[in-house]
Amino acid sequence: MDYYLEQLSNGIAVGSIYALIALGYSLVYSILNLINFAHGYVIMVGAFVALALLQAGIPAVPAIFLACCAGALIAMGVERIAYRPVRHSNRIVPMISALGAGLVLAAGAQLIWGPEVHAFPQLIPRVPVEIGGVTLSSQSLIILAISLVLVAAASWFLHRTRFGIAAQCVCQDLATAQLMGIPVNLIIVAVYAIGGFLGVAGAVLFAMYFNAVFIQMGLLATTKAWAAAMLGGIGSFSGAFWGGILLGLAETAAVMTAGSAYRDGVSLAIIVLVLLLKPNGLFGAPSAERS
Amino acid sequence: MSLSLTSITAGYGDRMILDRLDLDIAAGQRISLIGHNGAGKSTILKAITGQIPVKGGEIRFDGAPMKGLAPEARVRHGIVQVPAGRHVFPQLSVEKNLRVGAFTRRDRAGVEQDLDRYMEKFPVLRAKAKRPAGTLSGGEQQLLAVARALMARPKLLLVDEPSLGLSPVMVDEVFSYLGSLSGVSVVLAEQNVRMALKVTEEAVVLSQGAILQRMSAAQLMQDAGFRRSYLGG
Repeated sequence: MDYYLEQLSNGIAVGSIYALIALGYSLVYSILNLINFAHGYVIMVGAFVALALLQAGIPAVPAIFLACCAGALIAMGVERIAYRPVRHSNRIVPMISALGAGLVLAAGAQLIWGPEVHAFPQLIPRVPVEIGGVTLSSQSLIILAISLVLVAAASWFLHRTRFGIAAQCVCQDLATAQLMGIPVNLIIVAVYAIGGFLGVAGAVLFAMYFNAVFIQMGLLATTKAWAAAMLGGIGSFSGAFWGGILLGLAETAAVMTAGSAYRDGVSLAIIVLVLLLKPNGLFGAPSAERS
Repeated sequence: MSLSLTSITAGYGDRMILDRLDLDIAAGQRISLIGHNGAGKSTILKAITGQIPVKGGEIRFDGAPMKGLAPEARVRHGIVQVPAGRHVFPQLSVEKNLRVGAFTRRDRAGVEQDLDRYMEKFPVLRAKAKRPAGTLSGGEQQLLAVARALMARPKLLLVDEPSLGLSPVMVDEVFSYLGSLSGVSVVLAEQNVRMALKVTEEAVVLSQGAILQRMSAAQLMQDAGFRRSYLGG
């Protein structure tokens, strides 16, 4: 019983990381209306930046904060260079442009940090914690707490501030948002920045949890963000959150039953199943028709 | 408020719809744009809001040139459009939709007052204030879209095909409200010619991107040729 509860808490912790990564992805998806392949690569670079800053001796909290800011800046750069010029083109164009931006980031990161897998410093203590007779890992609990605080902050920003509500309008209906006097270009940049910031936070937690940073994390993170966002209903904030949690649980269940080789296949299976069976996701709002 | 379009050429991509069109609208005027599909009604609205670029000619609003201004900048000048097909923000609550309409305003007290005013005017918006706008009926969404636009306190209100997909009862409600507005100029692009002429004083008849006639709505209703073409005799 203890074993299952511990696995459950691990699943939720990993899921909360995916939620962080999926949030920005989902917001950007609803603006672009297409798969943002670059997202995972942006946050992979952010994780490497965090590693470099930590190795340079900068204390953990400012190092990670700076890496998140770097992620925000890179995401803004990607938006400016790879998306804005093609935003009004055929739907397939921004997707290819996003893929291209991702490959450039991957190649750049490989030039700097090399193709090998780097270990990530274990900043979060990994000790057994007993709660109500159940033994859980302190790392999982701390990761979960950090993720929840960030998700709550982002949720507050998006749902309670004037700027956040404007961002929701841009995601739901860009042309009409413009007719309301909302400065859409500014908002889009901000959405990318928020997505990059939260995503890097997720990527750093991911790197700590799996004790690894590597170039292919980019594609992996994109896939997981995509699966989580699809599962919860694309473009929906709470959907991306719950989709992330469910993905974490599903992966943990797969690892427990079939072995850890199956972990990364879960997200791909989810993408296929959701597209086939429930294209709006589990918690997706009835999709607003786009005309 | 004054709006002047001088020798406007505009369209989509390489396909020009409007060909050197002139149009002036004075403060407080209510004008219908009448014409068949493709005559250029919506194109004129989009040129005024800046949703499509103007290839030739000049648009001035209160004397200021609008060239190069994005739609959101024109909202700040007081030009606000109710888009065709309503386009409420489906996942935002009714109340938030209304607040978004006032995005460019800084007078908080005034915004609260207006919010109250439109909810008073349309009790259904108050009753469903917390529901996602996407759950409203088509007619309710149209009322919301009009009220949302008015929340910006526009000087010029552009309304694109408000009768689209509405039941006759809702068409009556929306149009009688548009007809009752004061202190704002209105340009109404509408297929339902009878309704449009009822609530506007003047009408501009368009064909293939050019203005055929401009006269008072009452006069136009008496015009035998117009009745044959647009009202079925």
